[in-house]
Amino acid sequence: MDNQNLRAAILKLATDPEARANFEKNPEEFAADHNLSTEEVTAIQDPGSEEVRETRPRIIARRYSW
Amino acid sequence: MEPILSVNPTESLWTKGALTEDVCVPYLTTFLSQYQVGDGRVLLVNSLSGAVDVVSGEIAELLQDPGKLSAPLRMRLQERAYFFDTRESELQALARVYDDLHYRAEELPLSFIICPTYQCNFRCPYCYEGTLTSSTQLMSEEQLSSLFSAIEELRAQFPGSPVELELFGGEPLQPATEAVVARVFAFAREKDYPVRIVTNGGSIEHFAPMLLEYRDLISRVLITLDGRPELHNRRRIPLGGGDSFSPIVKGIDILAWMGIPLTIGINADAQNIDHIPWVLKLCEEKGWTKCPSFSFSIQPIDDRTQRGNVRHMLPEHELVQRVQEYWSELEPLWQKIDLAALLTILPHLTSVFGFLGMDRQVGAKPIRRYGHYCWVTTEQVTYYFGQDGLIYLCPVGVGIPQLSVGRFHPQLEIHPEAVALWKGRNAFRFDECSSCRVGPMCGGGCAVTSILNDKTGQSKHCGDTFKVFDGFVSDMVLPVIRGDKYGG
Repeated sequence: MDNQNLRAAILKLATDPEARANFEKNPEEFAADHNLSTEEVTAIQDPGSEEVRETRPRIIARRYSW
Repeated sequence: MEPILSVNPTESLWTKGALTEDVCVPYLTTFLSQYQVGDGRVLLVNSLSGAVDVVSGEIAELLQDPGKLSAPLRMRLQERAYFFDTRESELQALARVYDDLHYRAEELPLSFIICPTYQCNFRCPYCYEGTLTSSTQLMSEEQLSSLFSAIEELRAQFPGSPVELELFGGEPLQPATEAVVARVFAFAREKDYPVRIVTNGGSIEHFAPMLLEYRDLISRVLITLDGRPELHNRRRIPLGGGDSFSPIVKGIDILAWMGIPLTIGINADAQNIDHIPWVLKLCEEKGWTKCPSFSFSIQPIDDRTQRGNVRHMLPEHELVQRVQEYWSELEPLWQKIDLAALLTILPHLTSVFGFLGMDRQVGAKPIRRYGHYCWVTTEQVTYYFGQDGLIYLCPVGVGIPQLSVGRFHPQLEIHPEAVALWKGRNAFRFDECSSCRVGPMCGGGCAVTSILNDKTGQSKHCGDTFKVFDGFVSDMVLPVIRGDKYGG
């Protein structure tokens, strides 16, 4: 992966709702604009999805408090 | 007027087997604090059982002469653990309850906390790590190999317990640490261990591709926002100065977009305590509070290593009081506010009186950390692996070799006598604490400060315990009893 391009794409998607909407409508165009590979496009599609949340280890440890 | 008004229910655990009905001269507990309410009544706070009662002045006087109390009143006070048959039966009750509370639950995770470096790219004036953060050294490949072996070796001692890794520092997420952090994530992937990250948040954008790759393993990221931008930037100072607020906010946006569980914390003192509602509002407006298991942590600034660099520190009772003043603004998000770091001596009393949204029922029984100053000295298994190859038990102690309990490089060595200074530390280890009126709620004080002050580590450290405890009762509890503040 080219981290520089991927970094810029992530920042754009994370901070710009319009870019997010455009990406959802037309991921190919977004990928071309940001020089992203197919693998990178797959990685940034719905990164916080239910599927990812389900695979996250369930521990979410609550530190011993009181 | 009721002769005894019990503020909280009695936990029967306290008195089971410890009392007899025909004791002629019962023993008055040493764990009792008494306060004049101001209307002739007296407030009793029992740090042994957690009982909080309001009695008439006459009954308060008779506590010293219990033979004159009527049998029903005496039994009532015995049920609240104000009286025992003897000092020995008081100590037996204490030991029994302590043991009941401090079993090591299997579900408690083993926390292995990794400091890839002590270096930090921020220079926050109140930092407890001080000049340590100027170090430029990183964990070497050899240290990492030793670290991963040590984790597996230690883990094998607690079969069945879940494991969690944490990246800590110094600052773990800096461009300079990238290769080390990548190695830790690869190890976590191989073992399927979740990873928490405690970061200043200044370089999240740089790490975005790596965080994206491992987002399914990241159990939580903790980031500090110290108030409105102008104040935050005066407190969270990047090397070379400038704005740290904007890159951190962008970084949190990235994490939120990835759906990573977030804790936003504020390092609270007199300078920024009133900024808490603003920061929480920002979290809401940005949509961060909608992230899975979002929490907001109020973390008091203190000076446990006594570096003398802390200028605006507030004692615990004043912090609670200041936050309570604007609690109604925070209340809609109360379930997301984590008070574990805020309350050291006062969790029980805060709970009994329902301050800061705490459940009054929690206050009906002893707190689980009973007898300990903080979680570090409890049965929770947490190891900090320093960049120096040493192992520590407390985040405040990392990088101070005197506070280490062993090493992981070149091979794992744990020194039981050093561990015992921490894990054996509770209010009942020291004679003065086991008869102190607030001993069970104080726990003998901070281990770090104690060990640094007295190299044997065999002493209590009272610090401002009495000021905090009595100040809280005076400023917050008594007004409630009198019905003239905080809703009566």
